[in-house]
Amino acid sequence: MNDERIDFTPLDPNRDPERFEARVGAILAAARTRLAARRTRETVLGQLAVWWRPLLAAAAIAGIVSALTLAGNQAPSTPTDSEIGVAEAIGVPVQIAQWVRSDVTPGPTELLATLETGQ
Amino acid sequence: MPDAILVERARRGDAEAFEGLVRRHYRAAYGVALAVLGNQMDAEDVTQDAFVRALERLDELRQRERFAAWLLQIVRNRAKNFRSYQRLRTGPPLDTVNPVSDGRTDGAVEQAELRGQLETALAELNELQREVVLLHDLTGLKHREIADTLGMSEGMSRQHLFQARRILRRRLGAGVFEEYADE
Repeated sequence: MNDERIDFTPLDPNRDPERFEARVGAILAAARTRLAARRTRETVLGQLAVWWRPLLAAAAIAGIVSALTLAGNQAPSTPTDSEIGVAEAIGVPVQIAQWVRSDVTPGPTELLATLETGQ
Repeated sequence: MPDAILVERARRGDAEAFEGLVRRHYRAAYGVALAVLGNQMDAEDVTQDAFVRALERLDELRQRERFAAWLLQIVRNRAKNFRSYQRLRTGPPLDTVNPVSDGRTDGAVEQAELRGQLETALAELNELQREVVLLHDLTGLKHREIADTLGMSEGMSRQHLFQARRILRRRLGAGVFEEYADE
């Protein structure tokens, strides 16, 4: 391999510092508006990035609070289908099953009437 | 500071970072443009245009550490487009215009003559030979980097360099050679 490097000094753009600086200056001048546009874009994106996480957190909290509020406002619980099904399955009248679930103690008359009607 | 960091900062509009990239890669970019176009003035204009174009497209560069190779591809494409446009125009080629013909010192005249000789000799090479010899001997890139930039193997890069130097030696004589250890 030929190992003699050619002396391209006369073509070296860095050879003339004044000219080189002028070229660099010209490039930077031509790029100025584009760099400014990038800074502006970055500022907008940066602001969005700054607010993005707090907004997400606030939305999550609002969602949780809403869900809890909705759950709290639901109607009082009633016997489930499975509980009614079991009582009926073993032949207990509905009225008696309700007395069992509640704290109300039926009187003898009510109890007899219920047993007679079987409801 | 690594290219990747400068690229990231320039992407955010940091003028100092962009200037750092320009200063670091100007010579290589100019070398590629000169190889394609063959004269200083056009090469400078295309180099400037390519840097601005690169800034516009900076978001497309995924591997930021490969900025140099990416930039040189842009320079190469811009230079080829410029040359195609130039061929369509009428009138004398720009390399016949000498921009600094008045008030020059003897040293400047001598440099201009040497530059003219080199440009004439380079015109005898094919484009790949010019690119390889300028990237290697003017900008100091390694064969691996040249191969990466020009899309060829390192072996081909060495071969083109060998042929280019042989042609230039024959054309210019021994005066333009310096002894260097080749990588």
